[in-house]
Amino acid sequence: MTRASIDPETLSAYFDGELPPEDAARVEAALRADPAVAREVEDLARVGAAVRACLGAEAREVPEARFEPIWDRIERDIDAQVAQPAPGPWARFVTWLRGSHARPAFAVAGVAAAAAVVFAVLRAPGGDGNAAGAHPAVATTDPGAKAPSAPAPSAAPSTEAPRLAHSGPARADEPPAAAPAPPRNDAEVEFIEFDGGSGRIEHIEGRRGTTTVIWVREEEPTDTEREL
Amino acid sequence: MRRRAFAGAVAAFVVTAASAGPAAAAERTRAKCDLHAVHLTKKGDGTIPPELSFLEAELRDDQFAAYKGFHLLERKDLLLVKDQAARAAFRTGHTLGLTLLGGKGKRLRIRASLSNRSGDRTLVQTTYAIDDGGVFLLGGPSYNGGKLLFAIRCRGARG
Repeated sequence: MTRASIDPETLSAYFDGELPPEDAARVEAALRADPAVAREVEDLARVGAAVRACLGAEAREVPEARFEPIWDRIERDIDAQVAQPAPGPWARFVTWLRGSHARPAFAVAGVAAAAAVVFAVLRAPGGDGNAAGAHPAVATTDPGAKAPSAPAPSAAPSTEAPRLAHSGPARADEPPAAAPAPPRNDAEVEFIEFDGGSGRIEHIEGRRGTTTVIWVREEEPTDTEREL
Repeated sequence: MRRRAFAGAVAAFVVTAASAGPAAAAERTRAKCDLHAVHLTKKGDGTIPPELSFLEAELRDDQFAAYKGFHLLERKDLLLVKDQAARAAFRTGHTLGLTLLGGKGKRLRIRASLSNRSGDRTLVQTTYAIDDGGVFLLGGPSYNGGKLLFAIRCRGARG
């Protein structure tokens, strides 16, 4: 694997421990072979540690109640993105524009076009200067925010929640890159009792850690019990 | 370009840390749980429906190789308050009881019990600790020629 074939998203996923074993092995091979890749991962670790240290003290002083709505909105955003259909041509264009070096030029062009439309409205006969809603090209700058989304799982009214950076389709069990680290299923069984039969504890290894499955086996009632 | 991407990653990290930091440190006194009752059958084409996609990795495991049909029978939500038992009765007749025993950091301690269809026997009771949002599975009861699998997923909250 060459340096050029490891994109920042892959490195970030490796840093977060989210890569499948085979991809992680390839990144590790690249780490050993290419000092530049190793430095980049070290940078991620340093930044992560610094940010955590910096925010840790500050966050403790903020009442948690302020974060609950944010957390709920993030969950709603994740659910909406999972249910969202594939982005259309316009959404893909905007995504491309955001990552393009040509963005400043397009931004200038957009502002000029908006100014021209507003000017034309103001100059038009009967124009009262209230152009809001009359020209979607002026009013809407992010079509992704207007895209239809699935209803929020809770009964809370729909709000214009800030969207996460990721806009592409995501698998239901794979959170977007900007989402918090996925919860791990590693369960510690402290106590178990099979009252009405027998059973066993099994484990499933996966990307989200180890999922515990408790299998119960219902005992067939005895003849005496059937008679009762 | 790389610097911009790096700045974006830092910003995302800041948002993540600011959102998760205090919640992770707090003691959990409430939890919202979603419970899924899944019917496993030996007839089917192996398709996992979208509403069960969060369990796809598990249902593709060898333990479930004998089953080709996966159907969500019912989903229920439970709000747990620390040390107070809550129960969810499913249409199959089974009852799942849950109690939040507490939790520190990202971990939740939960007591779970599953009763049989007639409600006269507790098939299993267990106490486990799991990450906030983690999935725990109880399976095995017979139902309509197949088996039942109950997926328990809880997220902690305060107050």
